[in-house]
Amino acid sequence: MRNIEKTHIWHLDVRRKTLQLVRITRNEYTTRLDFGYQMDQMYDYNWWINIDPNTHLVTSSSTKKFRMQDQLNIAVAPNKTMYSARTDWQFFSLFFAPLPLGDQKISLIEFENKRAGFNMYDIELKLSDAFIMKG
Amino acid sequence: MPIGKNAMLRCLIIDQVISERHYYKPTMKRIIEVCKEQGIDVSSETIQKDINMMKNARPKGFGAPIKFDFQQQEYFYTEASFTINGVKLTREDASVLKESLVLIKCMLRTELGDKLRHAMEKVLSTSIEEVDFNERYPILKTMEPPRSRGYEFMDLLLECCKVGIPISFVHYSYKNEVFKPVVLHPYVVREFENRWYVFGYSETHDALRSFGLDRIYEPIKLERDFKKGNTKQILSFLNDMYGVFSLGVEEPIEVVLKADPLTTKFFNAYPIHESQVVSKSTSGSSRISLTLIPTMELIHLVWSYGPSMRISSPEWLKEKQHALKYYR
Repeated sequence: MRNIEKTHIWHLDVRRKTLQLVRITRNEYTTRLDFGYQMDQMYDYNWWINIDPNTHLVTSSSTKKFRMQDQLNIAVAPNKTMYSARTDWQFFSLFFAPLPLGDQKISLIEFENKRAGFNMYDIELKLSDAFIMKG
Repeated sequence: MPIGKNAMLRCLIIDQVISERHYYKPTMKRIIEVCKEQGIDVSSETIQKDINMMKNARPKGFGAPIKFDFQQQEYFYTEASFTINGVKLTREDASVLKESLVLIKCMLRTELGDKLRHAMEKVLSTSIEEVDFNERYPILKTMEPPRSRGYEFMDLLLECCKVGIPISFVHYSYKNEVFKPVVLHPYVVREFENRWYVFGYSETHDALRSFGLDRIYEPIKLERDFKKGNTKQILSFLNDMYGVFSLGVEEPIEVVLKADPLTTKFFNAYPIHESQVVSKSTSGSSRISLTLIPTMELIHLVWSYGPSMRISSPEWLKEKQHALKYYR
């Protein structure tokens, strides 16, 4: 019988303005990125967030692009997740194809060559820092 | 025909596999694998029958909105929040509970029996909260707060406390408005004023901490050595505090409150702690002594009475309350 790969979990605190990447979970089926988004003083009437369907991950250990497969608690563009106050927050998750298993640096790319969007670069994932999910 | 014990177990596994779709693909293969892990050898035909049965309306099934995604070859609920856990009591269940209640009344004349009887009576009272169709209102009403966020983690947290399994979750701080990943070795789940908290050793904070279930996101069980709790500290958390968020003091101390005559009547009728001693003056106002670990909730309680109540001692607690007032 084939061995089922363990699920690795990394705790992180990577911030880009009001977006926080707090946890990455990786197993043989998927790579899950958990985010917190806190609205701030920038809030204006009808503020919203969403995620572009072409969002992907790139990693130092492969030349492949790891496409977004699914998402939880966030709308995919052109739909919008609306905010109603500057104190609003959102916990959401993005799911990608499984990353290779090994030490690597990954980047989240919502828009290539743009400063806007949920882009995060060079997030270091070391196997020795990972927690293992109870099987 | 009632659902058999084995079929019920398989249904719970199917429900669990579908609910965990973001970690493992809920395929037929996965359901059979999990059944095997639980010591149940089962064919795909039996699972298919179970799924069909789960789709049936109650009482023959669970009214489960299960669909099969042919492209992905996986099962899913069309209502993402659906689960067969949290099943309402049937007449049969209520009848069994009533029988148990009689047994408890007869056999358990201990403090535990009293507590259990009180809990069971509340459950049964709730189950007979039927509307009188002549009058269109219930003739008995218990407090029924709407289900709060985070309550869905209760089963997992209780299991982790019982077996001793550390968990990873993301915590959102209402006050600081930031998210933080936490590794917690959970010891107890506690309710306070209809809010639920998990208490344990936080690796992240290197300290004992309480976390409101409403602020916890996506708890995951970890393969990791469990750090056992100190029984004295756990009991102190359960018994020596009014609320859950201590103000840095670890041992119970004497706190004195002053109350006006009306508030004194309420405190006499509804003591807030085992240690409470009310000393009334001739005017009816009182000095209320409590021996406990001071908490945020105690300060909130005093605030809730406005000018009718104040903290008399210790001095540092008065100052803390004053500082928090300005922070608010």
